[in-house]
Amino acid sequence: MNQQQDQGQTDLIVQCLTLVQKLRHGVGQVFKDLSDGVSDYVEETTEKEDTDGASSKNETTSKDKTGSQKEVTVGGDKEESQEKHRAILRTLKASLETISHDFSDLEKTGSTINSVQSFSNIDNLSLDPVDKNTVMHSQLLQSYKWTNKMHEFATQAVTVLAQNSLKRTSSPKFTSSKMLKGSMHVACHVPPATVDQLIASLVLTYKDMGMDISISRPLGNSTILQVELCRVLRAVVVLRGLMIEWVKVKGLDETFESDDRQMDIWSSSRYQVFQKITDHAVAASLHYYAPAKPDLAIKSYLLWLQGYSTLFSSPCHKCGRYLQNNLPPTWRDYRSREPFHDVCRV
Amino acid sequence: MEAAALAPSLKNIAPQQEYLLQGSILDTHRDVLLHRLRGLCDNAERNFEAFSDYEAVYVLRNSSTAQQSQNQHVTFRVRHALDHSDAPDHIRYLGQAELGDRSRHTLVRACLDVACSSNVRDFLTEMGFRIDHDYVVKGHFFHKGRMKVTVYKIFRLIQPNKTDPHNLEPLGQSHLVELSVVAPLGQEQIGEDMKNFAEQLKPLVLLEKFDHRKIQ
Amino acid sequence: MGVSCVFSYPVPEGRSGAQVVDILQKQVETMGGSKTGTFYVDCETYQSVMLNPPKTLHILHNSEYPASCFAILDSGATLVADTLFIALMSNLKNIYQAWKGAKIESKGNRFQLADFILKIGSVSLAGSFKGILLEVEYCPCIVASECWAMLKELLQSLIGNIAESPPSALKKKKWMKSTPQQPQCCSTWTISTTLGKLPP
Repeated sequence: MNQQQDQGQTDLIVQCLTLVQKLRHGVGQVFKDLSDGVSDYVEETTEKEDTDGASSKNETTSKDKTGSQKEVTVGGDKEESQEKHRAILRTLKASLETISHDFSDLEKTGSTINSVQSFSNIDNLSLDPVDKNTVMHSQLLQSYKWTNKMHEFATQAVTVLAQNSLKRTSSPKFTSSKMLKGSMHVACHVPPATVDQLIASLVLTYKDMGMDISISRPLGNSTILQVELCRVLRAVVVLRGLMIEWVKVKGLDETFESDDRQMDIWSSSRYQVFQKITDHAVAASLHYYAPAKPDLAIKSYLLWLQGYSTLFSSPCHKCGRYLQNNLPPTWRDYRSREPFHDVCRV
Repeated sequence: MEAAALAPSLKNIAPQQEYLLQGSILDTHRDVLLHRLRGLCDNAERNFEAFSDYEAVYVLRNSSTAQQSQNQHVTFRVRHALDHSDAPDHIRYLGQAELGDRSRHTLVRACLDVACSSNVRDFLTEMGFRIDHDYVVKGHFFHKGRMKVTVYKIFRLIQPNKTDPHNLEPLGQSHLVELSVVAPLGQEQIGEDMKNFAEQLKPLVLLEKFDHRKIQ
Repeated sequence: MGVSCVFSYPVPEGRSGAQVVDILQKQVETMGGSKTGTFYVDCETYQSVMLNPPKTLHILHNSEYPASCFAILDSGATLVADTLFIALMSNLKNIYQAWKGAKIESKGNRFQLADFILKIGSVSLAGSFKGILLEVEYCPCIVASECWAMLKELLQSLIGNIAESPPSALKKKKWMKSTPQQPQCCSTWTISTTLGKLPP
């Protein structure tokens, strides 16, 4: 029903537009005739009018009139000017009649159109006559460009990611259904009690190795591990389920508390050495990613982190020096946990 | 941080003076005074600002018994807030009070406040100071411009070195009222301001300059 | 805070202190250090009169803590206070008297080299030049014995074999953690090495 109504409306509007066009043409013709006035260069005028008339297909009447006018002008010589005046008046009269006719047509059709309801703000946008005053247009263009770009990149990312079998996101759009059935789905949806249990056992294991681990959940479901490595560093490890999501390393004299006593997991250490270690620790969290055995992953990750207990006191395994670029060996081998400088690792 | 800027600042410490008027009010009328002060002072829209301090008075005497003259001992008052445990401790040195003549409206004495770390009491003992007496003051605090008004009560510690509320015994039936300004030397206008302010508290409290030596 | 070490650097025959300081500074700059201002450390000494037993009190200022001063008694007790503490001392002048001619100060430039802070300063006792001190601070670490080998490596490229063994104060404070309340450790080392190596 609605659609039919809409269809009728559209037809009406199209009709109105045609009528308006016609009306405008008629009015234009009148003004043209008036401006031409009584001309001495009859031939030129008529020729011109002829071409003009030919170009407009709708105005058949005016074309006929000009035709007759032409005959008249060619005919008599004496009564030429008088005849001309009359002809002009006739033309004008005919044109005006057409106009009033067209106008009443338009009025008739126009009255049947219902007022168009605006559906959203975007409709109002087109009503605003002053483009200069609204920055909306350029903004829309910009966002359109960005959306396009994003779409392009996303498509490329999907192609790249499709080649990689290890995935962190469990959305069915990006992972094959086969993967979804596996245990990786489980790794990030673990009840807090299980996490607590695992961490509690890890706390006991690592206590002797000079590593203090405390657990908290200030941000809802995510578990935050605060690790203090004996006399060397402090780290926060944020877990989603049993997956490592975020790591930050700072010095012992720095704090993970913001001014208003909230947990601050974002700010970086002011020391270059811990900024570097944060980078390595993030990379390692990807290396130790094992969705099939999440508990083992966390365990070996923390063991790797424990390797930093000799951060300041052990020389690089390759070059045998303590300092390289004025930094101690900030990288630990994933298997042997041997210290290396950033530039010394193979 | 600039060494050049730091060095001279150590030598030019402007001597500060405390201008003081004192009075007292009976416990039963304290609230009337508090409301009067709240109306008169800055931040009237806020609630009363309470404080609770522990003060220990340390004395350093010359150990040679030959010269037992009055001038040979120095008194430091160490304060720390009981309600703000993270605030630093304070050493306060108060000089000899000058009463001056009638034209001077307030008592004037040298005053030095130094914030320091919380081990100050042990340090002073190491320096040779001995504790003379200690007490707890609790009360309210107002300020108007640079004038400070305190209405407080002194509590005796029943057992030494314990500041929990059960160990405190109030002294007397009244609260002390003090009006003070700490400012550099030679600003006589302050005395005038303080006198005018004290006038407005009459007849609730009579703020006057007391000669402490006469009380002793 | 960190771990810091102070060494006295010998001035060879025929060279002025300023020249040696200049050479050291150039060396630090070639190692990649950038100048981050100046520093100033001074120590005034007070002695008790007619106190039994007699006591000595040192008062240190350090431009790293521009609003504070550190008081150290010969018994080892320390106090951190406002710079106004000096004014309190003047009220004690009947009991503690300033030891004229024992004022030691060290002034110089401060350099930053990754997480290290290097300070090269000339030391003067009561106004006359006495020697050169080099202070190296490693900020991220707070346990001296942990990073001693590392400090040594840095220092050996700078001042050679002087850094062979740790200063005696460092050995004593082997496991001491410095906390915000006790930044005086660094000043303690300054004074102990200053007083130990430079006869007044």
